[in-house]
Amino acid sequence: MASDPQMLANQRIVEDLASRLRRRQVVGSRQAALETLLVLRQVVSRARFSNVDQLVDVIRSVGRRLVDAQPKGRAHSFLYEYADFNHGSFITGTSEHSVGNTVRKVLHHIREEYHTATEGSTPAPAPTFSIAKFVSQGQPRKQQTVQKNDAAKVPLKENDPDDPDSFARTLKPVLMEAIQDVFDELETVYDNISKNAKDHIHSDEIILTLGKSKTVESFLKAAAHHRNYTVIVAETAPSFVFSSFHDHGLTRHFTRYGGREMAKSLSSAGISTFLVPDSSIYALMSRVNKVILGAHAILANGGMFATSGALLAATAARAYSTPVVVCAGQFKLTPLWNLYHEYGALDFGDPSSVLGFEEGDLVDKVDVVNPYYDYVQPELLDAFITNYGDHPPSSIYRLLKETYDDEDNEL
Amino acid sequence: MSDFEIFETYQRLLKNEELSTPLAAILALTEMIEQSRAGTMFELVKELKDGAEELNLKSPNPISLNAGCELFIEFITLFPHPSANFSELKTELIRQGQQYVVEALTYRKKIAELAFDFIKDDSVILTHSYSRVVMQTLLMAHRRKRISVFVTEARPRGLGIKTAEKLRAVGIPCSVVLDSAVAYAIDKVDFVLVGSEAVVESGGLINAVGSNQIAIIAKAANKPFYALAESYKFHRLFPLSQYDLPSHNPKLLSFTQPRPPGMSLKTQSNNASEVNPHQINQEQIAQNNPDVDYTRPDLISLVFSDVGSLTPEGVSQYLVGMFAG
Amino acid sequence: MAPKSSAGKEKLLGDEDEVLQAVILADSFNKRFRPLTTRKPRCLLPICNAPLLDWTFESLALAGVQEIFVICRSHAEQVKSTIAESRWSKPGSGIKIMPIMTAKETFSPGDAMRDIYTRGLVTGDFVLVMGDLVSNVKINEVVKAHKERRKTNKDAIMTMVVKESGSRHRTRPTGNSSVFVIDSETSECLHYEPVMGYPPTKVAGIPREILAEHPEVEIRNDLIDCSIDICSVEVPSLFQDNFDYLDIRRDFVHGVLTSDLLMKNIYCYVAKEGYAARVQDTKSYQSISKDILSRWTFPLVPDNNHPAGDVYEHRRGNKYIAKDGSVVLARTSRIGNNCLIGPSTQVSEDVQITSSVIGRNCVIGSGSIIDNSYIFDGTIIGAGCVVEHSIVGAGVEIRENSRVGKGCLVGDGVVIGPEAVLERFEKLSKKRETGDDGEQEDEEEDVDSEEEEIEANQEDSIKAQLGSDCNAIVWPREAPDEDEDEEGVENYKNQRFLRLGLAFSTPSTSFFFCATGDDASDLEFTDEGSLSSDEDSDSSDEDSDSDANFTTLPTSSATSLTLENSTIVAASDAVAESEFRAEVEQSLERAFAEGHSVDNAAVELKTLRMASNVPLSRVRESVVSAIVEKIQIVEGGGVPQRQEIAKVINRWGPLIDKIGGVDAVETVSILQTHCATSERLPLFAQILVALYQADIVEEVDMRRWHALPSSKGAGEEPGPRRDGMKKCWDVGAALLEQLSQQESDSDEDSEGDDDDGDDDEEEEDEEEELRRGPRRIEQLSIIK
Repeated sequence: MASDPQMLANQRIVEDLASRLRRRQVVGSRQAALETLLVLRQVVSRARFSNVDQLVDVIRSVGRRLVDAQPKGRAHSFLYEYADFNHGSFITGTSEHSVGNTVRKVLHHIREEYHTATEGSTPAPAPTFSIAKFVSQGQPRKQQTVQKNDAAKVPLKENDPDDPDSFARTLKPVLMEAIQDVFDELETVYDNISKNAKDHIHSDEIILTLGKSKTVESFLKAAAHHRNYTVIVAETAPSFVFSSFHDHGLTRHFTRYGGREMAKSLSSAGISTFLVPDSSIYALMSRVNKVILGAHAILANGGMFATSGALLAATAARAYSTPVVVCAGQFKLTPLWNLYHEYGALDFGDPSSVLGFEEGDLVDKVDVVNPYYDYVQPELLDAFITNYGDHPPSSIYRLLKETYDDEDNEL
Repeated sequence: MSDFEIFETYQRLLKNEELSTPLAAILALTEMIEQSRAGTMFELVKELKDGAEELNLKSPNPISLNAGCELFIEFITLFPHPSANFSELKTELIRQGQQYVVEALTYRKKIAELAFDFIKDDSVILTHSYSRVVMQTLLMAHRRKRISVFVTEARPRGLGIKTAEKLRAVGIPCSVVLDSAVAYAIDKVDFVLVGSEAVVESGGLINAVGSNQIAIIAKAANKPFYALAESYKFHRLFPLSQYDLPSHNPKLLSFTQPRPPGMSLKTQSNNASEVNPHQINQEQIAQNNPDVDYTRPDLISLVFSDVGSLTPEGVSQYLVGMFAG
Repeated sequence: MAPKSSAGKEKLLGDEDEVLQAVILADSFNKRFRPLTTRKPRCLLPICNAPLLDWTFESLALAGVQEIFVICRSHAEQVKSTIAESRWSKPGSGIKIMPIMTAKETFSPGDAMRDIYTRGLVTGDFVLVMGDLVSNVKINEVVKAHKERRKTNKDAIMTMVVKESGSRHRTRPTGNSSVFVIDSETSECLHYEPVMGYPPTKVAGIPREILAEHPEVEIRNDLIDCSIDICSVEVPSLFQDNFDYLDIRRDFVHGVLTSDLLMKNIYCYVAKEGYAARVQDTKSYQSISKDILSRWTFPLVPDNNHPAGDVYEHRRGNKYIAKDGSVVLARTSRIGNNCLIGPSTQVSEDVQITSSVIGRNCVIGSGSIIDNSYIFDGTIIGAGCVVEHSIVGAGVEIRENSRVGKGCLVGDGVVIGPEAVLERFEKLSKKRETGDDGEQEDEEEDVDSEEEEIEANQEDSIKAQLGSDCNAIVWPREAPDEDEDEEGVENYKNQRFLRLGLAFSTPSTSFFFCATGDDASDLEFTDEGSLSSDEDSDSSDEDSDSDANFTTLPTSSATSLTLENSTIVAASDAVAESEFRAEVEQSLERAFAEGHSVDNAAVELKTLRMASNVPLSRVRESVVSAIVEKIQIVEGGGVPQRQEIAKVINRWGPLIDKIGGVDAVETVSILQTHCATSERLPLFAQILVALYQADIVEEVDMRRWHALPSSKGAGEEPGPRRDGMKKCWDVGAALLEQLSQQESDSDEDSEGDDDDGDDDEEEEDEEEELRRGPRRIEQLSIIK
């Protein structure tokens, strides 16, 4: 089917990204999403296929490879797949969910483009009915696509034996455009989330935030153009900040007190900012009007993973009935449910930021636990602000359904 | 009208240990189609509806049965029938019904696999009464994980004991707790896993009585409460309280009027052995109490079904898909 | 089709034009892991269920290395085929790995470096690591710093990566650590001293110039030497030029830093972030396993980036259980914190596992206790066994109710038990099957000969202890004799510090810096208790509570001292000299051991002398004493002893005159002084005669020496030394007398004088014999 050099080239870039993910050389969900998209773009541009299923298979296999490469990144989906039981064992955890999410999103777009392109050119296959299908897909009427005859469409011929590439040739430009759309969306994600910032933050409010999140940072800065308000930043010791920069072709990250950087950045943007230790969050909460948090991943049940400390802030906010608002790009929507059951899902870093390695005496006697994330239950959250509008936690599953195709939840 | 006895057919089918009530009802209805002499779709649907009504009236606990009947009838109503040949259509419908039952028998395994992923190694599970799908899940989990199970006794029928016996037979450590001891035991429990009679449109759960209080206790103790439900148990019902359930009747939980002393016991049975008129026996209690109760959706963490693990809200999406529009 | 295929790779390289190369010395050049390493190279031993070499590769990949040369020696074929089959050879790994098979004669890292030079492997700055490295240090940043430095200072040839650890860190090798003297400002390494546990290094000398030239220095003994060196191309060639460099630290670094001729600089990079350590002995094997499990090596942890590609589930308490669902844990088994359990392993009822690593496909029988032990793949442990602080190889079978004591190493394929009892620090390996394939045997000849020897020496009593079905041979717990003269760290007694099973809290070396008076720069390593107590625990293995003896001494974990010039009286001469002596001794030992030519040895001594700036007499002292000590004492003396002396003197005597000046009188004086306090005192006369016969010492010189007042022991304090001096002088007197008599004899012969004929005749014989060979010396020695 596909020629070897192409396959090899694909394999190489996929493996390269896979190992960089594993080595934590690509860190941060947006960064990971961007890198994934770059890989997918190359894969699609090189792929040879004569029908859409072949293409979907290629992309899924790439996605599977990337997700599997992060042993913690593979989790069980919420929609049941007819997986062999032997493979169905519990695999869960998290490193960069956005990788899988991006793949799902691209697949969704590809199918969409395909359907638009094939509309009318191929007669819709006679729908088959069964009760099972009825249950899972609802009333049959809704599936029947209105037959539209658009003669102007270029005829798309799948599985053309004479010219197996014709399908790919016709479809590819559209697909590349679709991928570009996803790309553009990622590029503008911060702006789109921030555009309504002034509706969420009012003058003279006191906002509490935690650690450093690029999304929250741009959100707060955008609001500062219109409003005069105060931010309290908890330093989230010894949190991890993924300030990525390129060095020798590798993306590097440094681990620092995220809150400090955040406070610096906000105050330099002219926002009145206080930096407080994490332990004072509860004490300050009575004066806080709103808690704004970033997320690492938004889960299907409306809960989320966020920098450790987020649970503390959210719980304190609940005690004072302070609203908790989460700012996150849509690429963080993850069609997974059960991550919070798993201890390992919190992704534990090395203990060195908690206990110095030079404390030789203690190292041997103390087990240090240094989780990256907190799981915050949906009950503790009030709203998600995404680049696709604002949503309560309970409608996240709906958003997921619109964003991804069910069959891709398990790559 | 045919001489087809739908309730007897239903009873016969239920003898098959594997068949749950909704499936038995669907099979009974397919047999009804077979026997039916209806010449039009309209007549057929009417016959089926009557049959369903008969089943409903005759069975003691018709809720999940209703769910099955409704599903099947709704399916038939919406089934596109372009061909003019009505007998062909009937054959097709019969085939569909039977095929679905065969397929539906695999749902328990699917659900078990789905729920399996939520069971951690070394967990302690609390379950309620007896449920085939819960059993299957626990047995599957036992093969690969170390689990221990608390089972409530589940008065009045005491089906929890059956669960405990079966679990012990395969070597799962198991302990029966009194229904009244759930709050005592809950701190030792990692999560609650129950089966269901039906899952209703609100996402709430109808299950053997006691489920509701377990869910309330679990909520109070911050333990996840999972329900297992095959998708044919999704029931288009929107109860707002316990007393909105079709199973509720005024006799349940009625207060017995204290009899003035000296009055003869005419109203009671003519049982000669009766000695103390104020004595209350278990049977009386059972009669005066509900078989099932309704658990509010906000107490349920997740519903595992063959269509996926759903939040309680997610269930309504499927019901709307089938019945609305 | 192919034109764009390299696009990804180009992007990967980024703006870096040069490919970052690394050289892995995949041979340990020592035998610390034997018998585990009899059939497998150390770098393929698993740690946390992945071969060491894979950890090293992953460590390097993490740092952005793109090309790796693996220098392998022992079991080279195995290493090569393992690499070929590993995922590293698959496309997309992003790393090119080339195994280099070096000759069997490569006995030291130095030889390997020379091999690298002759093969011309490296083209630019490269990373030199050992095949047992586990690290997440960002080496590429060190490389960048190194290159930056090279731009201004061409002589900065090497940057060593060291990690701050505190002196009592479990990962810091106690028997084999180092003192680094580092310029605080430039982080130039000014001086390097190896530190050993046995004999305890008590003093580390620092050349005075260092303190004079650098206003602020750090003298640190709290660093883990990660053996990650960023080397410039010159480094292999320096090895080539200095053929006597064996060890990279003890010889090369120390040599370069102390040499006035080379004028090269070496820098240290004290890694603040990241983790790096070497699995260089069984003790560090244990501590690094623990470090990996407690995630110090993140992202190199089993649940994220396991080098062997296994997938593990991380559970509360740093327990890692293989995730493919193949692990069977019995309900009543208890897995403690910090454990790793490999795929397809079965853990039966009532088993307790604490802080241990269990390989793949293992079976742990019911009721067994595994504590702090490392069990490789496919091992079966029967019911009711106890395994503590030990390493158990692959495919081992420990039958029921056996007990494996602390510190045991059980080689691959061994079967012991039932009811076997292994004492502490026992080492077992599988008996070789008869008819082993000959090829293998040839290849590993030296290894097998030792194994054979051990096999031959098996005692039946031990066998009985190991159970009826045992197929194991027991390795001697004391080192074979020939090991005694193994230098430095490989010394058996020092090795004991590097063993698994010692209490980790062992504060074996404490570090004092005395800043008073003349001793200002003495570095003293008190070793109170630690060695002796270790000895205790060793000699009496029942002494279970050995750690109780370890005295806890105050240690300075970060010994960064700002030295003010006023308090520093500079390094005293004594220190410089003693250091020089040690150097010379080492140099000569090497020369002796490796059979250098006299000329070569002399050149080396000259270099040393220049570097240390010591008077010639000191060199002579060292040389003479080294030669004397080289002579072995033969029981019963007699002819064999004389032959021994003659052999040594004839071989090495000429060296005395080649060190840069001839002063035979001094030579004799030194010989005397040395012998006076040495156990070789009885040999003084014979040696002197041998020197005389080798024409190193003339009669005139002897007479002059004899006339010196100091030779009689004048000015000496009364005591054994003085007595010894006196004895020597007496012997010398007798010898001279004989010589003069003989001379007069010959005169008489020529003159026909026949005064006291009988006597003379006798003397004549003697004289002749003296000239012919040292047979009569026995008599001479009696005279004393």
